[in-house]
Amino acid sequence: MNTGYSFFLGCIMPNRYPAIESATRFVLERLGINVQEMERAGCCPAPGVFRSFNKPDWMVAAARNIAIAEANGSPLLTVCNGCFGTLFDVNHALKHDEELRKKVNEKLEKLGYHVKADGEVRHIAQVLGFDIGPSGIQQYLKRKVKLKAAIHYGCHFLRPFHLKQIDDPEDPRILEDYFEALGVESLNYRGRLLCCGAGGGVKGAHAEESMKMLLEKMEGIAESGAEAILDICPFCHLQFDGGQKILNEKYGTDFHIPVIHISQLTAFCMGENEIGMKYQVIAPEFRLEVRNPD
Amino acid sequence: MSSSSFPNPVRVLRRGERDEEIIKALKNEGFDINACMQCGTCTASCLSGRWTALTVRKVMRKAALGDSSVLESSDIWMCTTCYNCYDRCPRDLKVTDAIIVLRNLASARGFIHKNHRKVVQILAKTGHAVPINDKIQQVRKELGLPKIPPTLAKYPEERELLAKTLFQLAPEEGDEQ
Repeated sequence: MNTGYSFFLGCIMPNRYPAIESATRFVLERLGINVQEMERAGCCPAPGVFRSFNKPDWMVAAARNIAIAEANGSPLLTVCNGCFGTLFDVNHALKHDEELRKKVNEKLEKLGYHVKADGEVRHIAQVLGFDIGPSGIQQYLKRKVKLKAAIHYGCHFLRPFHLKQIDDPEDPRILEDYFEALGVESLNYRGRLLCCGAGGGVKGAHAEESMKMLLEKMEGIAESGAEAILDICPFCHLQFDGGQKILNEKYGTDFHIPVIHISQLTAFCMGENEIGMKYQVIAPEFRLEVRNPD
Repeated sequence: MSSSSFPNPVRVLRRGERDEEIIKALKNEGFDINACMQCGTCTASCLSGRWTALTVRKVMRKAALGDSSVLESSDIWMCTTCYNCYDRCPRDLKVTDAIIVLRNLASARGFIHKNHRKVVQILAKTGHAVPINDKIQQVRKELGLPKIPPTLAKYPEERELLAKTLFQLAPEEGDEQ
């Protein structure tokens, strides 16, 4: 197995949910995975907004981040579906299209970087769910949780399928298998594979429509009796966490379902007590329950 | 057959009325508009379409016909890029990519929502779409993280170079919506 990663921070994790960052660092350290900082990295940039304004510029800015990881000499690691959507897709496009690589490098060199696109871009859910895997993770666990949860995949982790080829986007198992290994009882709920409604620049410009989509998602989750929502993306996280409050205020709903990122739950099971629930908008008082050994 | 059985007939644009730029841009992106058979799998797969006016099938039809109204409407901006339609299209058309092509064209013509303009300004100023603030700096400290992450947030000169080089938006042209 590889020994290190260039840790891509992105925007929402370090600047809104830093507990996901501290939890991720804790998990990687426990796994013995070396973390290299990506000095000077920026926004991925977000595939919904920035790609929509100018796709060639979006590619150049993404290639700049990829080039920083290449200079580190290690594969790039992200904990966000949006960043994964941008960085994986751009890396893939550049890897397989020499002409495009040349064009992107022309502009990139004006910024002082050069991209080779010979490395890898990976998501923390791949590292935990596949590389380590449900049985491999056992030796690192100090405890398991007693938790009925609604697992949310988000979109850009699995799609477009012909690029990602991680799991069947119409019926994936990777996250269920992983979370169940941490003690979670995963629920099959209505709208399990639906989008959270935040992406594509919709949350930014059309907040009301974005909330209607979230409402449909949340109704399915609430119906299932979930005690928590488990996700793998800080942007989905923001949508669920802040969004429940907005829904409660504007639509008279009464949602109070805590939202937990894969890094936060894994860190807790590895013995970390501070996973930052108290900083979140919804259910700041929520504490994970430890499952008694069978 | 009476024509009245088609309450909403397709308006076929003649040569000269067609926005050839739309057709060309889609073609350049490898999107064969004539391969779309208007089956509606995209629309049926669309979460956004259940809550907004977005009807992906109609967007594709308008684009194929070179109908420029598709660029002026906010419909194309309701897509969350979930890629359901893209993965399910029976003709393997990259539907989401086509929507991005249309958004790029709309943007080049100045049809950009004011909130989206703001996001580009924030990126130019801070290096991030979602920038750090005082409260989060405090939380970061409590969690044992550096107050400011080692990103562009710490490198103003490089931020400026980036802002000068990328994402120069076209001037407002009937602000979208």
